[in-house]
Amino acid sequence: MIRPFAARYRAALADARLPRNLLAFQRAWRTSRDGAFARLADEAPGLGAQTPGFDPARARLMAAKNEVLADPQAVRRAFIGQAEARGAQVHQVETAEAARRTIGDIVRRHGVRLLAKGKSMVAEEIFLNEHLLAMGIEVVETDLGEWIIQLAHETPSHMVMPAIHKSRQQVAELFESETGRPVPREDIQAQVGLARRELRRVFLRAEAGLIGANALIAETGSVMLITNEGNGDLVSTLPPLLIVIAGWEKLLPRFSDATAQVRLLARSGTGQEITTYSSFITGPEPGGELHIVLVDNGRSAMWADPAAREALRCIRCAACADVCPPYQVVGGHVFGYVYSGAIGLVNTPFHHGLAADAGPQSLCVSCNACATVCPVGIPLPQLILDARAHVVEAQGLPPAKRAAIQLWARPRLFDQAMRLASRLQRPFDGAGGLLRLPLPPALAWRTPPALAARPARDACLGRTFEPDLRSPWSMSKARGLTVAYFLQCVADRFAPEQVDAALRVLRACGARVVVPSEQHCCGLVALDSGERATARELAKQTIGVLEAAGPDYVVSGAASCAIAIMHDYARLLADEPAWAARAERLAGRTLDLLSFVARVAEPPPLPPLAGAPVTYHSFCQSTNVLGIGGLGPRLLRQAGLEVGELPEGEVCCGFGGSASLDHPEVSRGIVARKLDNVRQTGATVLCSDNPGCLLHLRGAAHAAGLDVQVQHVAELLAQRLNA
Amino acid sequence: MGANVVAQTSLWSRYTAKAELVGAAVMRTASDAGAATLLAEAAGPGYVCTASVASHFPQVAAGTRPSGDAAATQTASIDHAPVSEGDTVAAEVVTAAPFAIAETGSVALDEPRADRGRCFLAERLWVLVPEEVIVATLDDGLARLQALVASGAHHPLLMTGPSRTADIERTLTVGVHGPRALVIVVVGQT
Repeated sequence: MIRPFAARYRAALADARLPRNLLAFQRAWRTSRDGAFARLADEAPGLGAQTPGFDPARARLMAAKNEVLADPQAVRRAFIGQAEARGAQVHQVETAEAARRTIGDIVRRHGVRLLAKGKSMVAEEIFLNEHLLAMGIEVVETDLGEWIIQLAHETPSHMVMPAIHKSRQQVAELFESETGRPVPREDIQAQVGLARRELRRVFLRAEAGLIGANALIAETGSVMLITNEGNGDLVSTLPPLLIVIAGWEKLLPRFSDATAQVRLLARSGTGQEITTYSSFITGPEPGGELHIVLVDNGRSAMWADPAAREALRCIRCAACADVCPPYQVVGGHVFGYVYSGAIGLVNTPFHHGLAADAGPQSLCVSCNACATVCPVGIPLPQLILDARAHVVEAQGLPPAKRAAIQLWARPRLFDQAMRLASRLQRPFDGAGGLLRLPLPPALAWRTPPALAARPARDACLGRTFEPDLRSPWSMSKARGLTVAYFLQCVADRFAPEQVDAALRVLRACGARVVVPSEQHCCGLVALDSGERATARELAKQTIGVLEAAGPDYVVSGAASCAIAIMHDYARLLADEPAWAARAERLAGRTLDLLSFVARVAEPPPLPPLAGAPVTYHSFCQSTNVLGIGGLGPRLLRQAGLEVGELPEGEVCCGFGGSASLDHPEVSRGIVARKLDNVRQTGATVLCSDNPGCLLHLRGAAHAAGLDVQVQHVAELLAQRLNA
Repeated sequence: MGANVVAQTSLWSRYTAKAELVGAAVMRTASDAGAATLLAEAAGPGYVCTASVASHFPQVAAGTRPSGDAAATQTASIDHAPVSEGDTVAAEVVTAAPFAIAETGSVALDEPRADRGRCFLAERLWVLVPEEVIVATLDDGLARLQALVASGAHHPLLMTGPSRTADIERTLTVGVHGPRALVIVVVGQT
């Protein structure tokens, strides 16, 4: 059985090898996966392929899956009709218990003593093995990774690479215990050879085989199986009885739809172009029996929720885990339950209950990387926040967090509290906008930021700033426009110099800037915490204030707030159509600072200026939601500054809103990866477009003794324009 | 040369590049007789043919023991007799592919149960492919598979390279449960 979240979390943090293995895996996966899709786009059009690339294949597969979701009953009936016409026996089961019982009955009726098992996440989902073992049936996993974790009495930590958390030495020890013979600790080839010999006997002796399905093709009643090792086909060939277990969401309407899935699955799953074996099992063979068990176990409930329904398109490629920064630090036993990665955070409440998801979902930093690689376009980041809101509704927030959000919700009280805090903090003021505060070791990896003596609002709230006509950019296309500026709480209270710089840059582009006086918080903090009611309140307040200013554009130097307005508000207010419409209108006029400068102002290039070596961390959502990852460096270079490329520049810094406070160890692991990359560049200036990232990076760099100045891109641009 | 021949040649060179990248070997021979000679030299006298070879490549089939006549122990090994450590099934198995796909370097297999089992249990699997049955894309290939299913095939599949895994420390190891080696023999029409 699966241990409680806290125990799994502690165990993962204590395992130094796990994050190293996963980091190497994520990097290798990224390179292979990107290369494989690039080659597809390069080679396939010339051959006449129908879906020659990630985008067309994704569009085709999404359409096919959505066709199923438009009428699952009809597609299911069609599949069952075809499968039965070919001699298969199909069982539809609603619960995990019913699934176990049905499979148990089939194997008992056939007197099965040894069951050869292929890889199946659904079998894991319903805890099938324990049930069969309790019936006295020997169940042997034949997929190498699954066999390893079976011997270790563990669940898979990754949907595609189940034993990725194990070292070769650990594997050797497991094989030694199992076979009673010495096994070479370092020789992976020998270990695989041992598995080949041992499991061969299982293929040849088993009275039954059990496999999962990568797709269920309704047009022909076929089960598509996509594998590399050969065990899936052996298990579905040699034993006379074959059981296929699958969630009904695996349905595809027609055979040709499977082509898009074949093009996407291996590339997304392992970075291969295609797996070794792609099989289409259709009906039992003479003398054999084929049983197909279609499992519901919460899928109908997912379908009934119009938002969660989209997650039923999932093809279990695990790409979402492969780009996930917190997953890299803690692994799939923590970032998930049975299903891991972003999809696990979304489907666990439906398959295993909300409580099972409470811990895992809290680890998501909302970087949105998962959404960029999902081959079926599931809006995972939003669905995870939905799950979070449900958890908070059911369990409430921890008292400190609840108090903080309640304070945040009241503009005047919040203002007073921040000013008081700023005064109380004086004795601890250190240099560089940081505090000098003794911290326990668990928190000492990031020096806390100091509240500014004067918040940004004191210098600009309620004021109008005229354009700076002497600036070399004053004839830009923004000349004559009126921009309403949104401060953001973090920049306002901790980094007023960033606000000052942003205002300068906007004025330098020829815009008049107004700073609406009633502005407060965009509500992102509440949204990220799962506190939807407060988030809605603050969103409405913000919409009202910014609308009233009647500007041509709303701009913020805080990309996170700009993105919240552009992409989260309408969905947050979806069940209040009048507000949703106002949110859409505001979104249409709102931009982050970089996008405004690059796309609206389009300023002329400036002559080169020598300076300290700069590197650039793009705020993860700027990259993943807005697609502007390269925009900051490009603008800086256009302004005459040299910018060195930051390896993994688009990977999250680990701030993640309150994630760095809720799970400091995970945040620390993510920022360590970021700082390692920064060190490699030799840069002495680290630049970014989001205040939250900047404060987080500044504090972590300081605590790590890394001598690097951390500045907002607006500050570099403002300095350049003054020079 | 007709346009078709040129196109076919270009498809085969794409095919070969893809297949070799995933660790398959690709050989050419001009005829059924040529294939028989090639196999006699490379696979040795003990190779076993599936029934589909017998119908399409009679000379290859004549060169060895076809699977239907396979020694009783071999058949029994697949048909449920208990197996002890010393048992083997045929190490060198020869089959015939109904088509190949240039886009991915894959061959199709459509074998009934016992012959399919032999293919998957082989140490080295030889796949004879007539040169005229290559198609360009996965779309074409899946359409062919669908046609096989419609005419009664129970377990048609695409095979691309030898079996592999990266489950232990992500280290790629070729040869897990399925064949350790895959050799594609493209047979010309002379």
